[in-house]
Amino acid sequence: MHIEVRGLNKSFGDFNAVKDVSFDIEKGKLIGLLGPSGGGKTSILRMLAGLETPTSGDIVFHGQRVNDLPPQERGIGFVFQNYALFKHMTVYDNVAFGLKVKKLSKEKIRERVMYLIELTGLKGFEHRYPHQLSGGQRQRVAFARALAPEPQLLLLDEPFAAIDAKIRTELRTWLKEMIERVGITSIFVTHDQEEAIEVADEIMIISKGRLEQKGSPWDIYKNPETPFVASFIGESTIVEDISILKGFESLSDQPGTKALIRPEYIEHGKPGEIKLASAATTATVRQLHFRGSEWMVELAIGDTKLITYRSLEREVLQVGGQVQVLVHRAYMFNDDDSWIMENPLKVDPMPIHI
Amino acid sequence: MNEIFRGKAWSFGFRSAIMIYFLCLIVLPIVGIYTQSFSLGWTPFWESVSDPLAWKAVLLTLKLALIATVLNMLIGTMIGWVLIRYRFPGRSILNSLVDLPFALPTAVGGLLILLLLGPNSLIGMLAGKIGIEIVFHEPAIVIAMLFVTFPFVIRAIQPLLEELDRSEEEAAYTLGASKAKTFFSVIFPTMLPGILSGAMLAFSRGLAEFGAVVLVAGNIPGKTLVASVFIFGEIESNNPQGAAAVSVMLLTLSFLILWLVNQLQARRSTP
Repeated sequence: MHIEVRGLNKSFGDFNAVKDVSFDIEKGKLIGLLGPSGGGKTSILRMLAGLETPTSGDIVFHGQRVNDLPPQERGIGFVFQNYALFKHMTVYDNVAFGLKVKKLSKEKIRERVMYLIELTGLKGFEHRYPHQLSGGQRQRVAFARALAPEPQLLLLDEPFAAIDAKIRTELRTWLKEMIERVGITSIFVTHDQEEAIEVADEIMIISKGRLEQKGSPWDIYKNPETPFVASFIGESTIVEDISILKGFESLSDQPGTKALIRPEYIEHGKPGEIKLASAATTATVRQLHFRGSEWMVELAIGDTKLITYRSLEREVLQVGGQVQVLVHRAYMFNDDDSWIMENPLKVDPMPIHI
Repeated sequence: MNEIFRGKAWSFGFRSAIMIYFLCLIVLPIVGIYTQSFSLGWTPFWESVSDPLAWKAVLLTLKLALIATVLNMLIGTMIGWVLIRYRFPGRSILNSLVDLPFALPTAVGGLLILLLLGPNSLIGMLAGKIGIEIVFHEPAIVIAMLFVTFPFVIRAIQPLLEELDRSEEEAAYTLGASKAKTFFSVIFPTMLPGILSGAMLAFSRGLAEFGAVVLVAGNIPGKTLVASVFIFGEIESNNPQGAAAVSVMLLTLSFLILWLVNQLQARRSTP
């Protein structure tokens, strides 16, 4: 189902939960609504479902304005954060609920329910009650139940929040595969960027009720449009005065401009390890943190702190030692503008042609 | 502190205290009643029970307690629902007032009914005009039972309603269920165990009610004499066997109900 949202607003009393949000979603896409908790993601999802009424704005499904349609008539499936399974019904009855409401024949219901139970890997659990299932199984039931009446749009509110970290990754992959297989347009809410990046075809970043950016995960990582997106996606350090770094001296005349530098933008090494020595700045190793698969290195250049990672294969650094630092690029921003700046010295000043 | 109480001596002491309490206050009196009623053998017991006044009293009590219980299920469910689901000024005061019948001496409840519905009161006079007599007739007994058992159903369904997740209802809506369908297939089944166990407690309390009923029933043997008042009468007229026989019937009924409530609750925790 093609979804169009125009100028959506929602306020609870004085609090504006959603501010002027507009977007389009193509049929069959899997969209992640990503943002900090309390940012209005769930409100947007609930308005799409019809569980909440927008203060203003239009929601259009398939060219038809659905603002005034109750949730029963929107043709959506909703997976709740706590799954909201019917506690007094078995797995079978939970999945069959939406079909019984539609007054389908018993055989048809049975056929569809058994298909979904098989699809979600719940075979053998049909007669269990929700409290006899594990978190992951409950989520599968919630998913099967939402899919049973063949909705046009599947909405998932923090679908993995209540699941152990270990099974979560497994379930993520499972859900992505499942949604691809069913081919249903889906929107899920999450506050976990790793989850959004891994699962979604497209991410919408929501903060303080506003849509900050919409795009593919790679796009958002590569070209963050706002400082919020830049700092929210991936890891980063904010540098107040970037002109102390080699290659960025030209920015010393722009006092309001700050730089955001990701660890992966930084190359570091003992003197001699970096080939482009002319573009490198000397820094001191302030701290070393062991992170299981690599070292997290805290570097200091004057008062400026930078964070980067060092492979375990490389020679171990010493706290207090000197290293060379090459910053490949930085995400620059001030009050009016933001842009990505490549280190101009990276172009080898003395190319050797053979 | 916890560590001390977990010690062997403490644990033994606590357990013994509970056993002694249980034995002295519950087991001994009950065994006493059973032995008392059968003390002269089966025949006198059977005679006491088959005395028309006795079994009529028990039947009347059963009938009226049943009526009061059904009314309680309806009214209690509605009140419990309103107190949990609606927000209005005075809600918390009303909510605490629900327990009033438990706190009030039941005789006071009976007196209230006499004053409010008696022949000299406005309601009593109006009802009398259309040919309904309340006080000293069955309606008054039902009202008295209703009054003393009022909190049971409400208090039994409130926690269940509070536990019921709003999202369960919303899930039903998104699956296409109308409000009515959602109520009957999602909300009502959640409340049902509470309604039933509350009703059973109300029923056994209704069977046992004395204080409120004795004031308003008129106590005409065979007509408005309920079991508990009958027992009182038998004791007054120095016939402990008769009293014990009816007591045994009531006691057995109460046990049956208690057992049913337990069964219900057990089913609720492991459906």
